[in-house]
Amino acid sequence: MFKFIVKRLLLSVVIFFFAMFLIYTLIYCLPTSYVESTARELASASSKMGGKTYHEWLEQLNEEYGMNKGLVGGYFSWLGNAVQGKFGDSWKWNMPCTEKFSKVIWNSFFLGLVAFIIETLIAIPLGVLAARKQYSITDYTVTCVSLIGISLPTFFVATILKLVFAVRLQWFDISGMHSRDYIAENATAWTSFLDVAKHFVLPALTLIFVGIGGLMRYTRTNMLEVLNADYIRTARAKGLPESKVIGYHAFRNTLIPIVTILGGSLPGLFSGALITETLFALDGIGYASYYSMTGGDIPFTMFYLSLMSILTLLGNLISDILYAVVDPRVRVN
Amino acid sequence: MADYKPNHLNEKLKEREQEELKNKDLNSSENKPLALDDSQRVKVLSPARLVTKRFLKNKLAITGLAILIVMFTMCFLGAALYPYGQTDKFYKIAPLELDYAVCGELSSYTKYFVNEADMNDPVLDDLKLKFDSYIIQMESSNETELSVLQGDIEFIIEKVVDRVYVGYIAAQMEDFGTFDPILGEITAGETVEGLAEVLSSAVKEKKESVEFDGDIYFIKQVSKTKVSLSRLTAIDGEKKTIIATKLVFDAVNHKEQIDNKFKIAVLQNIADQTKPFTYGDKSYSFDQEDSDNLIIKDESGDPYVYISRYSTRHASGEDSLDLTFKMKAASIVDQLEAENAATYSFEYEVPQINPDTEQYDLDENGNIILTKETVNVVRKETAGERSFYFKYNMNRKLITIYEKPSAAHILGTDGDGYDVFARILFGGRVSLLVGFVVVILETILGVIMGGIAGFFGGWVDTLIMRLVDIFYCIPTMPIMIILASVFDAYKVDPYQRLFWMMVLLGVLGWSGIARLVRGQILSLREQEFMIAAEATGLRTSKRIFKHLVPNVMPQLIVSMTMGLGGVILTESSLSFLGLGVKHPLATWGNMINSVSTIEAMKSYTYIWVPVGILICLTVIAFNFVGDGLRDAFDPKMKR
Repeated sequence: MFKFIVKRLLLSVVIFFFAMFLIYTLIYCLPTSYVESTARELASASSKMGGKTYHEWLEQLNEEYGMNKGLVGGYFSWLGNAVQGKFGDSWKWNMPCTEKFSKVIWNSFFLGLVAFIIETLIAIPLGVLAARKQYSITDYTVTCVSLIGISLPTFFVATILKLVFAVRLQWFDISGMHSRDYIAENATAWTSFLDVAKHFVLPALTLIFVGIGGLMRYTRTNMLEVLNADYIRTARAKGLPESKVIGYHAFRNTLIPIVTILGGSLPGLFSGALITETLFALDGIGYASYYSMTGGDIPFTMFYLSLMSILTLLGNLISDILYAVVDPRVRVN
Repeated sequence: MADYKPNHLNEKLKEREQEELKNKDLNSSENKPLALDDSQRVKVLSPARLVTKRFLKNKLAITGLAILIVMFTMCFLGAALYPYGQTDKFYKIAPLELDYAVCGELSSYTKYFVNEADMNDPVLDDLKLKFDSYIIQMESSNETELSVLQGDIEFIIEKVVDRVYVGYIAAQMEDFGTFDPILGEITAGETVEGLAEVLSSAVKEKKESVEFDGDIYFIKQVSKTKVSLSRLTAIDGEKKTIIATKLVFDAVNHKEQIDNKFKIAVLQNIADQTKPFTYGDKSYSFDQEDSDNLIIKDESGDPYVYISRYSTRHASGEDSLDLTFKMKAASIVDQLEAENAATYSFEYEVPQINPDTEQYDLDENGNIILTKETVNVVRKETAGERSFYFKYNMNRKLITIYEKPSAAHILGTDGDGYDVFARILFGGRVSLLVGFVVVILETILGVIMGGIAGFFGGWVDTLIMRLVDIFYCIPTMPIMIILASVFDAYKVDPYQRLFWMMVLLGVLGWSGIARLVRGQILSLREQEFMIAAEATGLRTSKRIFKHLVPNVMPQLIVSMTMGLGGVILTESSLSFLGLGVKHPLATWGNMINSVSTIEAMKSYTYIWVPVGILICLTVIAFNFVGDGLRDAFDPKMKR
């Protein structure tokens, strides 16, 4: 088992190396004039606030990102810095990338976590139910709802929710992290928490709406497969009550792939929700990176892309390991 | 083996069925007992028919298929048949209150050189530049004459009547010489009798200047025995003169230009309005209409020029209005000024602009047709200047923006005056096109890579699968956003963007399909038919693409169908963020984006809600069909 993990980890490192090389190549190939004009705009914007000059930004970029050392040499010098956690200063946010990350990551994480927990709690029971009564009205409803969830574009769900709850009913604010009358000095930890929590409701709903379908469908498909298995027939044949057949024999086996996929999606909580956060102007990692990417902030973009790659690889790794751990039938070698 | 057919039994059964059908009429009354292999009991279907049958039994899949058929007909056939295109702008002719004329006092004086030859005199030009400020100085202190000594020159500015000023060079200063007050001697180029005595007393009294014999002498003490003198000599004869006025000259015939020299002649004679004056070889006379408006009549007594304190011009700045309107405007402005009122309205005969030609409507004689309209007067003050705007409703060609749904436009029009329904049809075309192109590209790449990896195994497999892993871990959306912002910076043509977007989505998305194909081929490779294919000595490429790939088809078709929905979602999200397909090309995503502000979102639900529902319906339909196909291909799922 230990050898398996080490092997997978090493493989992931290799994949990360090449994936980042591809991404670095892409960034490296961005037209120089684009990079320069962005840097110039940035310098003129930040000069009022005592920021860096255009040359300082470009020099820093060249230094941290090895843009002047050729593709391969530059990549290694960037990688060397990145491994030490030196991602340079973000152009857009005017602070080190890692500092911006640590500032906003928990907003993203908690938003993702809340949505994830609620999603799991709703999707799994409904998926099991649908599979138990295949081709019944319940099944069709669950299938329909989950397919609609998968098919709805995030921005459409967000816009509808905004229209209904923020514009018509006025229960929530349209976007942002705090209410208009929120004053940081007067707020206690508790009122501040409540205020932020209130602004998380619509984004969380959006995420749940969009994400719930996939999990529901996955549960249903797996449950159906399990219910067709021989050991379920055996369990029924030996006269076990249906509740025990489903709840004990079938459900536990259905859990194997589900736990694997859920475990694999845990690192994704740190990658933020790009579109949802942007639409609701929640100061999370998705929002920060969206504006970095559209604003040509190369350091933060590289940081975000590396983060995304690491999280994807980590997710795969976790689900592989979990699969081996949860299912004793899987031989690790 | 020669006559072996795979569905031998099926063929036999079919034949028997045909025979029985023929014989049915003969012995239909007979109720024969069913045999085990009776076609009424056993019905063997070909795999394709089996799949079709299972697919057709799935209600959701059929619904999805129906939606897709409707969507395709709508977007491809409908777009071709619908009378409007995606970039057809719609106009309507509607009244719009526009400025017709502007009336107000001139903000600065118009200056005329009395002698044209003085035009190039730098001294007089200097006076011309400063004239306005001198007038302001005189107006504020209520003086009628001002003498300004500037350098060596003395200017005199006189007020003739209200709004008419005359300025000329009155005197010139020159060095005269020196004077010794103790000895009483003048050292100068000329001798002036009696000046010495006057100067002595002036120096004693410490005067700065003294007047003698019509000239002014300025005294400047240099030392006890020396006083320097300068003399201001009045200029005799014709003086270099500028006339400045705020009065406006309007000829009775508004097409006629009034000569500047005529204006100068009028202004020179304006002080005494009882006397006729001559200009050229004609004589003219003044006639006061009311306190402000003067009329100048020619010899026959017909009015020739009106003089008014207000300038009335067409809104375009041209002096093309006729005199009756000008006089009407001047009287209204007078009245408003007197009452200190800001608005007024009256009925007047005004011309209408033809909205199509953007010219005035003319009758058959070439005269402008006048119609009665209510003219509104509005006072506007900018930077201390006060002008009165005359406006009325003119029929103009307007872009119909945000029109509510009507018979002409089923879903109304959008903010650019485009027909929303037409844009939905064309947008759907782009969305579906992007979906298909990307999925086909993905599939081609995926099948080739996955096929090679699965078939050859070994290090080829390892290499390709690591490549798949690498592509799998590159996040699509961020990459698309970065490239889109670069495209934005370079203002790439919308069609080119569309092309690049499809290519990139395809290149970034093939890894899933490659994995699927490889997995399938790995298991299929070991099956007997592949060993048979190898034994018959078929070429490798034929074995992969003729024998293996068709067996992967079911899974491939399912994943392609599902993938189509996914690509449409990605495309619409990108377009919604303003990073995908760009204006003026329509897609469903950017149609929603165009009304994404809070106000637009609230007011124009009839634009974005149908579009959102269409995106959703299309993606759902693809998913339904994909789901149905999967169930149909995979009978294991049936209980």
